[in-house]
Amino acid sequence: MMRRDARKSRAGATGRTWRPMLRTVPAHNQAAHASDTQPGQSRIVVPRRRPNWLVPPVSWIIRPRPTRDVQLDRLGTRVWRLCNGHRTVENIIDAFAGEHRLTFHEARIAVTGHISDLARCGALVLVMHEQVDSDESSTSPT
Amino acid sequence: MREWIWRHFRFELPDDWEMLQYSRRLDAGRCAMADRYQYRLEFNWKEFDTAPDFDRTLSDYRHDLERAGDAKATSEHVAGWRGLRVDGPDALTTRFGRYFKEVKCLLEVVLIWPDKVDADLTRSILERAGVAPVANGVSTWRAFGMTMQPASDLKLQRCEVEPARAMLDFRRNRDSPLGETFERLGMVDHWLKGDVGQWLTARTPRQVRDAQHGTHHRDGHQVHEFAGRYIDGRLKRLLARSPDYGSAAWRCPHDGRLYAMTRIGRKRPSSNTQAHDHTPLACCLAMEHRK
Repeated sequence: MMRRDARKSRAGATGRTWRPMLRTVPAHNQAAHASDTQPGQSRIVVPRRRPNWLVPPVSWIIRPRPTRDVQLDRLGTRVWRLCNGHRTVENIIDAFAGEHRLTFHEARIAVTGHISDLARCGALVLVMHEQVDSDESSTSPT
Repeated sequence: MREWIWRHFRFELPDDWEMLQYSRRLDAGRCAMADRYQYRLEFNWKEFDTAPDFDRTLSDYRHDLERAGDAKATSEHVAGWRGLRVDGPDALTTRFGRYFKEVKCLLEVVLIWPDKVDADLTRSILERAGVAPVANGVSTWRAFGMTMQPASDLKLQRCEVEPARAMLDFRRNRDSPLGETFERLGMVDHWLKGDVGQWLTARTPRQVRDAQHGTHHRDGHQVHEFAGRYIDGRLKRLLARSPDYGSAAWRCPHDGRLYAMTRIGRKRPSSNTQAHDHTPLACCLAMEHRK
């Protein structure tokens, strides 16, 4: 076993850390608007950018919705509210884990899933406080 | 420190290390544990009929490193384990190997250090690492917050781990209905409608006949149990005696999670006397000390 992996462990894990990802600070997109739908649940409306190709006469025919709606369940809403622009992802994971009696990595997988979904649809922006290798910041260890 | 037992290998590791990668295979495989920031330990196993030539293995490995030219290796010998400390360009690791004759298996432990080697932690981990014995026809697995004791002739066929859910399924073979399944479910208040007994009843397969439901208290836990016969198809009912079905579920007052186990097969000898004395799943120390 040792010979085969002369330089690295097979997890590809050697030296890799997800600490930079944990230091990221998620903040609400100021253009997004959140409202409560039911107790503990919410809806976020995110304005869409008008695509460059959408000019007359194409825009006379294709009329995309000017906003994107995101419905959040109770857990998604909780993560959204924890993303206040001050807490790091690590702080949010710790808070979520404490509230739901989860281990750190259980909460990490749940929280980072929600955060990446919200960032992908433009509801959240991720503020990186240092130069981070893109592979490290985006890769989940599991 | 927390004990982990996987594939009959036991380790005592810092409380905040969690298993993020695992292998189900018995003959060869790998598991990796991480703290909150990075992987910290991985262990690899491979079955061999005889002990390998450690001197040669280590020497070859060291030679490979020197030829690559970007890592420095020094020999280590800790608590009966032989290995190398490798100062590489990417990381500082210590890796140790040991052959366990009783299970005919070579075990390699790789420790990954964020900045410097902690000799005390290394010694502590290696001194306590070893083989968890199979006793009274049951093997012991301890992982993901559960201590499981499946029959030793069952193999881990499925393992599913996701946030607030871990499930390990032990069977004789992949397609057999005979086996034992252990589950640990979290965030129970978010999804449990009704009580645990109703939940257990609702998930009982339709093949179960003559079902009986019971409840008892065990070490501060209210355990709901379900027992019956598992009749899988009309033809099999005629050809052979149908196996027993048993399931149990409870919420642990210490961590609030729901624990469940299901067994389809012949009754274990120990369960003839006191069925609920030997539930092969424990959730916390209170339950384990009873065993």
